[in-house]
Amino acid sequence: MQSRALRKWSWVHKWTSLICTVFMLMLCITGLPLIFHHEIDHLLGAEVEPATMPAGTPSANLDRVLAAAMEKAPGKVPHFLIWDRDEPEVVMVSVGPTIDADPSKNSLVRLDSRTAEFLDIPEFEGRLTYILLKLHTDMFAGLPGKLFLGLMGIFFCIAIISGLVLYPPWMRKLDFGTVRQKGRLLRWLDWHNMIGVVTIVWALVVGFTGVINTWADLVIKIWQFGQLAEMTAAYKDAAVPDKLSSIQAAVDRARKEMPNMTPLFVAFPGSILSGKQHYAVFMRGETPLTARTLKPAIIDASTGELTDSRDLPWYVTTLLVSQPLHFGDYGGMPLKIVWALLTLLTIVVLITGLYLWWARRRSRSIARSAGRLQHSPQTT
Amino acid sequence: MTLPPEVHSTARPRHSPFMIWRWPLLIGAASGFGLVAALVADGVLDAVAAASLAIPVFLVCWFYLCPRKR
Repeated sequence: MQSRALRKWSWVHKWTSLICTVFMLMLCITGLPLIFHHEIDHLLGAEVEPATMPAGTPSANLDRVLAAAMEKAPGKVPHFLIWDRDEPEVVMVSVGPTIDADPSKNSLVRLDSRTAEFLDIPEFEGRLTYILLKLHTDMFAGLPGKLFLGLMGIFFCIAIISGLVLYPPWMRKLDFGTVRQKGRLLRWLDWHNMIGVVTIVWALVVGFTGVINTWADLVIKIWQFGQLAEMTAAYKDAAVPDKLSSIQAAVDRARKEMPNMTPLFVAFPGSILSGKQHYAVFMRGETPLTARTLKPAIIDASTGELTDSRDLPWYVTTLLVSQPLHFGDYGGMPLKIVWALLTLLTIVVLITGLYLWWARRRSRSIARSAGRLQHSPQTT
Repeated sequence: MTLPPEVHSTARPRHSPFMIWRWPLLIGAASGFGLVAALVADGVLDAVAAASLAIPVFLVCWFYLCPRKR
């Protein structure tokens, strides 16, 4: 590579890294415990555990589950009914003060899915995992915070790619894995290059899927005003019905339509993920890959009839498939541990990169001062 | 960009691009496989995915414990 091109790539690597390093360090440090958020919450006893029952115990009627949840949340309205992906014996009802209230501020009523017995209404805001999650996703700054972190993620991806371009010149005469011992700077440079190159695919995938996740709110809005609006267009001027049809019947109807799928959550009429007149029952597949993609069944909340069902558009599917690749929660505990170790290696790459920049800057400034001293006229 | 004298040294022959990229490409392919494998199926593939993704961790530990010095 021409030295001019090399200088340009070096400039790109230096500045994209410098801009994003502090934020990437924060994301790695907060992301590391979040890999084990479920385990941490269990360990801190943040949630009431459902009773142990024989396998195959049938689920309770969802209308009973909903009634039990609303009894514990007087004056509130249900937005979503959600099955816990990791704990099928737990079902949650997300409730807010009004149907058009911001769902991110909702409370979750947790119930035993087999007995409809109330478990708890967890307080998220004081939890360690909640604080870490907020820092990790938007730094408590809402959508602008998310988009800002997305931009930092883009800089991180550019830094990785430019680092890859700069890798061969450094390795022209070094065997893979060599760490030179001639001075601290070279030693750290070799560690930086070696750890960076062996973790590059993972870091690029986690970085890029993180960027996609920062666009989640926008993606949902686009879907809401696009496909969802199309599916419920005939009812756009309708009001939310006073009396809703059975939620159990709506889920049964969706199951009949999609026999090879399992319900993941139901959006109530008027909530952000359904029309004013409809339940939207979001079904997921049963294989590891299809379990990440969803298909909504739009059910009329007055008559209980299925009115539409379509595959989600590519941009929503991309978002859904990118999520496990960012969280590392799709291959059990061994994968989570590897994810955590790779995060630690990324922290090492970030810190060594920062150290290399600082040490070179310092040595250049010392060299400049020495040069000035050498050329300055002697005073008598 | 100024490369340190060790890089410019004529004492050692230059590696071919294949030699430079051989290991990074192999490790990258293993990581890519690991990332996708656990998405495709559960059980054995989960273990294979974790093992493939653990290769970089293993290599870093290996080179830390048995350094290839120059």
